[in-house]
Amino acid sequence: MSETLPHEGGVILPGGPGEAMSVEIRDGGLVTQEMNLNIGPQHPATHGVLRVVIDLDGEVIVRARPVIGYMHRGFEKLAEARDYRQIIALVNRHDWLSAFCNELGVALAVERLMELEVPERAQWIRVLMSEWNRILNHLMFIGSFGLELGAITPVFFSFREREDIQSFLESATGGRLHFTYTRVGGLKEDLPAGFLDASRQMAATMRSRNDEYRQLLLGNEIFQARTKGVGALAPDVAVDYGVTGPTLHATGVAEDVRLSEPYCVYDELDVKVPVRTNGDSYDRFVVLLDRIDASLDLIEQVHEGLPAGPVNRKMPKTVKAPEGATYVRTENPLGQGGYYLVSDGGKTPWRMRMRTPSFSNIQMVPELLEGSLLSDMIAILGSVYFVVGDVDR
Amino acid sequence: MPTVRSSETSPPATRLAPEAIAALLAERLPEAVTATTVAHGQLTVDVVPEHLPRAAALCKREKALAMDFFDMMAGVDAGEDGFHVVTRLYSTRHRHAVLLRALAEGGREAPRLPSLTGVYRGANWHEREAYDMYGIVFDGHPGLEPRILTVENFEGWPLRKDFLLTTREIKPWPGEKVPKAKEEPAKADAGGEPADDGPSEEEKAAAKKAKAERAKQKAAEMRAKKRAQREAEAGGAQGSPGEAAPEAGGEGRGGGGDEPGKGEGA
Repeated sequence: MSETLPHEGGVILPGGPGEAMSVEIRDGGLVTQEMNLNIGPQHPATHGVLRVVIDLDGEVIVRARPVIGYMHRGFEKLAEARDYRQIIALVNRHDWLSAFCNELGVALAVERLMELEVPERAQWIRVLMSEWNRILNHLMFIGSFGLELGAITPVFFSFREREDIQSFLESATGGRLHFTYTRVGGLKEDLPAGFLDASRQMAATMRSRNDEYRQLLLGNEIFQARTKGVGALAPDVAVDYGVTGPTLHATGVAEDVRLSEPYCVYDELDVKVPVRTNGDSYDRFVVLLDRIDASLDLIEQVHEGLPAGPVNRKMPKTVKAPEGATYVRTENPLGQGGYYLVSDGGKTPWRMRMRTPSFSNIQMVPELLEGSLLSDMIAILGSVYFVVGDVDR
Repeated sequence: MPTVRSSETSPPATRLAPEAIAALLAERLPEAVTATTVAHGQLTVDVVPEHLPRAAALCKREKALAMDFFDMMAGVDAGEDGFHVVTRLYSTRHRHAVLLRALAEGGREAPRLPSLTGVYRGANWHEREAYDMYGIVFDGHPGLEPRILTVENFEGWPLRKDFLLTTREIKPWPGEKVPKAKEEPAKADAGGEPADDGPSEEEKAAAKKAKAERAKQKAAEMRAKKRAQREAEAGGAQGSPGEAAPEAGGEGRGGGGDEPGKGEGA
């Protein structure tokens, strides 16, 4: 800026060598200008391809506008051209960290329309798999949240556990990420020999490891400084936006589908939902850790109560859902998944609406970002747990 | 750590049965509610489109209903009538819910509905998505453009049934049986020849037989080859290779499966 004094009455302040910078003072304060900043779609803090356009006043975010759709793959349209068995493999993929919970929701919706009774053992195993999937998902976010705040170590630990869990889940499902283990009317097949032992052992290991994570991160002064009081969400705002999952539980609202509308055998189990009250990044993270313990409790209950019997029903060669509509909710790792299935009686759904937790959670993000510092953006985005595929579908 | 346990929480006594919610809505807004149906324990209330925001506001503010949670909104293609928009509202306190269904005014040509953004902030993106997918315009919405999921210059409304899924147009169905085409509800069966479900039964049976024959032959060849090999090796390790091979294959595949997408970001 070589030209000085563009404003009348401006004050000259020294800039670089041989330069001066002009500022305007009006009404006893500096006159400032808002700056527009585009973050993403390729930004490490956005977990994939989320773009946030923000207006800055100094360091404070004045407006934030998430731009989504970079990973839109038209699942809902595809689902209308695939039969019910294929859809189960399809819904595995939009939220790659909650594959089992997603496929379960679709199976439950079809089963409800068909009024199918699913064998008892299959329902218990579904709970077992859902909870292990929840832990897998949370481990991912525990690792990545630390990483975003500059702590490299947690991600190595959490991926070590993820590997162990994935390897025994693979023995049952054949998949490490996209399990495709559910079928309409039951499961693909029964658990292999040795699975339950591996599961028991891992549950015990995981419990002690979870305490390690706590010690590793929660007491850290930098971690606390960067997360406590940052991005606090009010419960009424959260509910108005349809925010669910750990993000909602951190605000003190204990809305959890496993409590309010139990599916599978959750009504026979003692489900614990950890709740915190501050709604900030720190609380969201603590809820995540506590949820792992709660899931381990459920897993242990399944180990004890798992009944014998078949895991599958004899199904007709073509699965056809009778005409009608139903809405099924499941508690996915990131929040409530919803499946609104409209059938006209054919092999493929007439309409398959997927309500995904990440979509609603990300919609709320401007409420948190606006008024906070740019440097807090990472702590906020990292703790409103979302998967971009789940946002865009 | 504070926790809420399922053993300590039972369904609240204030939870209303679907029928009770239907009766309450019909009584308070007789001009808005046209029909109520209960299926699979879920209440669907058909609402006159212009009264949709009033019905939603009643659900939210009425003490006995207190549906504070905006769950989701789904457009549904209703064929010649146009498009339904189904909104689910839920009460976190009473744990009951309602599906409000409204048929957009203006048929398939220019579907319109009043916006719910004045009642629930969460309706914003859901309405943008319904606009993006079905072209339903929500009056009073702060900004439906730019399109939320598709690209800016995208033409057409992808989830309408008359919008063809191009992969199905240019690529034949890989399976044996084609699921009934449903992209065009108006002329659903006009184009598709019902008899053309692939080759006839006899042809299929013959093909199957030939395939089995070929497989048998191949297996016999392989067995002969293996026997020759084993004899050549002069029998040291005989039983083990057959068992070890799949194990190794499984491990190799497992090692390659890591996180797609997530890795891009972190």
